[in-house]
Amino acid sequence: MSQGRAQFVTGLALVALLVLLLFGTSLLENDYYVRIIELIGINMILAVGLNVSSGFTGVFSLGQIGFMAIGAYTSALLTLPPGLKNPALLPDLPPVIATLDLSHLPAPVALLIGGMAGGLLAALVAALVGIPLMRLSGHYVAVATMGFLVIVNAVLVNLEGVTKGARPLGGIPRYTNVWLVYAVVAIAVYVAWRLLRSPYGRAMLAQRENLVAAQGMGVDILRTRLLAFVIGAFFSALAGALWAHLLTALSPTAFYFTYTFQIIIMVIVGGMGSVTGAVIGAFLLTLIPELLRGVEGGLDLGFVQLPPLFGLSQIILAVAFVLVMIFRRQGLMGDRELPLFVPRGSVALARGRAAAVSDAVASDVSNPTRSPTG
Amino acid sequence: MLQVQDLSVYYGGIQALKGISLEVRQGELLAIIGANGAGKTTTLRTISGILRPRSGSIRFDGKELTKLSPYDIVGLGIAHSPEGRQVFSGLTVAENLRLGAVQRRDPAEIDADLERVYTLFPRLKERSTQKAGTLSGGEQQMLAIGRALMARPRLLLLDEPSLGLAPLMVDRIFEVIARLKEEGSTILLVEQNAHMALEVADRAYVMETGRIKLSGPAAELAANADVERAYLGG
Amino acid sequence: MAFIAQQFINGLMLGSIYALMAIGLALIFGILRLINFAHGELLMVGPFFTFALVKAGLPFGLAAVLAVVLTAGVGILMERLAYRPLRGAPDVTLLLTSLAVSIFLQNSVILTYGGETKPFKGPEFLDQRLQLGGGVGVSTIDLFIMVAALVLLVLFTLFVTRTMLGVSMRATAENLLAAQLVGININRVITTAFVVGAGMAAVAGVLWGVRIGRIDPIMGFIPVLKAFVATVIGGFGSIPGAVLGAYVLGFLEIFLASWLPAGTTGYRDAIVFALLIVVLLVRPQGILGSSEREGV
Repeated sequence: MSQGRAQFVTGLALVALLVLLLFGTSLLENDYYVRIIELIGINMILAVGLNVSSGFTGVFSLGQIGFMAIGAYTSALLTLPPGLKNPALLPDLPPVIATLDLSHLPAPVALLIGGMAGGLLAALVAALVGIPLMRLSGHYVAVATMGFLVIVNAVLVNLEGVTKGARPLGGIPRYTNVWLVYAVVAIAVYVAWRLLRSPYGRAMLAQRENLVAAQGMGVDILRTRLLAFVIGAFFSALAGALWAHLLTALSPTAFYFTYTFQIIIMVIVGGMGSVTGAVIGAFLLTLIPELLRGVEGGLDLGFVQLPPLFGLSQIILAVAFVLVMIFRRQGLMGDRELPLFVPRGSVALARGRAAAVSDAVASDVSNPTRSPTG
Repeated sequence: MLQVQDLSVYYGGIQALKGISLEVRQGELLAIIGANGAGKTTTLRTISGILRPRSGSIRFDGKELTKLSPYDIVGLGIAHSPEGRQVFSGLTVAENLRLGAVQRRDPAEIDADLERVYTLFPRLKERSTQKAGTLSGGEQQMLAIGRALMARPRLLLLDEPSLGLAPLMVDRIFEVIARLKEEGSTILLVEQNAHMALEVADRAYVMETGRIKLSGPAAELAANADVERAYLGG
Repeated sequence: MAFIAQQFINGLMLGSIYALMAIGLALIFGILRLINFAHGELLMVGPFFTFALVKAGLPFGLAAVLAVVLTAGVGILMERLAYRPLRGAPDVTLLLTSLAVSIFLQNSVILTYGGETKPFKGPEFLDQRLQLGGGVGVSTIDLFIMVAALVLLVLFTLFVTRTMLGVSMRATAENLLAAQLVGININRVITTAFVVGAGMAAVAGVLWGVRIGRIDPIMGFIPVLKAFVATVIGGFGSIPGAVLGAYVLGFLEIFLASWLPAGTTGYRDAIVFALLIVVLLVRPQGILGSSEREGV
């Protein structure tokens, strides 16, 4: 069986397994568990999105959650019933949106409209913001994208007439279910995987390995980074829409640095260049803190009583992060995927060529470049 | 004084030094010549502790250097004037020089050494309050050597002192190097300018792509036909 | 006229707080290439230590001084445990790690004291208001902040120009390779940078806490981002630049606060960060920074 055929069959098997699991989930009585599973899926989408926007290209964006917010608020505002977004409540909302009534549409369709609108808006913003920002590198781009997140947050908080500001925007229709979430997860994973195998993906990895060499090979650095950034933003926005229709209420504080860090640690633990790693990381690092959160409120083990320990889950995450950084920086998967799904030859080839050129250039070992661009 | 044995150093995946051995004797000026990329600077940086070898040993008066930090190695009496000068641009000439003596605890002697450096390099005295970054290439080279001398080292490592300097400057620098040798300093000189290096050295090694190709008294090597062809333009 | 004078004083005061933060950030960045976002938590931990010590019965002044010392200790631990093992790691790794340290410290305080804001009161003499004439007044705490910043800046300048350790610190920030070759004790320099930075942040934190009358576990977050903007404006890695940028930012913020129409003051922070992005794109080396940072 050729590798392509084997991949197809395995992929099909995975999808079948997923469908089976989802079916099992929909039989679950406990709403809490279902929510966790949906949340895990949403975080998987975010993690894969971060992987694409930052992990492939090595250009670290910390603004991803800003795009999630854009997706969430867009979808929420479009799908809110007019009674909840009339001019008395949201005076600055454009009339065309304030009167839009999607409530008669079936849930998946309404969510699709809201999600796509959010996704496209986020992609547009990402394109505009990315053109200047993708010239930067290293911690400069990280800090600039942090600035972006702060700006998005400030806009959300201050545009009270549209977003209700710091107060919760509630009443969002509960459209999200496990099928929709994991459909998007599957799409995101597939897109990321296809991207990795495409010439664009190779270009992204090449310029992560060695920028100068990649430029020498004719890679359009800006275009490559921008593409990754925009795709990542798009998926983050989709995740945001799903989130909005899961929690049914939004407030800007949810879309800030705490969430950003959580997604980062998922990707880091899973492995920065690995789609599989992102998925695994999202799973582990949504589940475990959730379990820990149960402990935070205090635990009665019968023979001993643990007092409420708020903040403990965050502390453990932070410590875990530092330990991973020190001892296993490449995370669980590093750059690897499930064995069958490694893009055959392509990544290794790109890396080998990049390495050969970089040898010839033979850079100085002791002082890394400090210029903001490049 | 200094014994290097079977030293192997890697830059990432590339082997820069492939098991080299050399020795520096007390009071002599040993030169290492060779083309760009031969591994000369790598050798000096490994001796100074900036790079860690994968295998091999470096013994200074019997003490093993390969596990020590640069801080300790300077403490043992090895000073290094690096390739490309590497002066502290934002600091004054005087501050640069005094930093050469950062590990010393004898203020009177440090002041005396400072005067000695100023005597050796009058230009530096003129510019002692200027920021090092404003100096010319030649003056920065003098500063780098002066800074290394301020440590009152037992072994002086000079990395490519002629690099990027005008011929007149190069002569000036090598005059100083010759004078230091006369005064009894032990010097390990790394140079691309084989002509000047062999003129001032006692013995020399020729390095090529991470290996020692030839060794012997400087005069002999200067007369060697291969060396002449490859390095002396002959 | 009186209004402008008043705003000038406010700008000077805010700039002083930012300057105390920015020096620590610039110092650590210059030497380690690390943007230490946990620096904000050093600002936060200072007043919390003070709070705890006052509760334990110490007079405020003594508690504050001890708190500064304890915060310096936190800075040393931070360096030893989180950053030293990662020496030489890529910039982004260090930045992310500093975020992790920040979260760790924030939540440690939440764990100990809960997440709510706590009232924080300084000694009486800091709670007065002096009239300078012409309708311009200044509160004693503002005056104290400006004087404290000035004193510390002077002491710092003396330290880095007159002492060997201080000069070594400047040298290490300039050129790490040369600093190693010359025999500077890099570990000691780094530890010193953290002690100095943490100490100054603690002073800023205690004084700021007294000024606004309250403390909470996330009080350091926005200030460190602002201090960071200050270092970028002034010149990345340049200490005089960081101080200059801090005062520029302080005045800019006050100016924006009084000039922006009411209702949009929340955008003040957004504008500051938009400015950051503009500077990074147009003149990344800031006002005083040099574009070339290599030693060759």
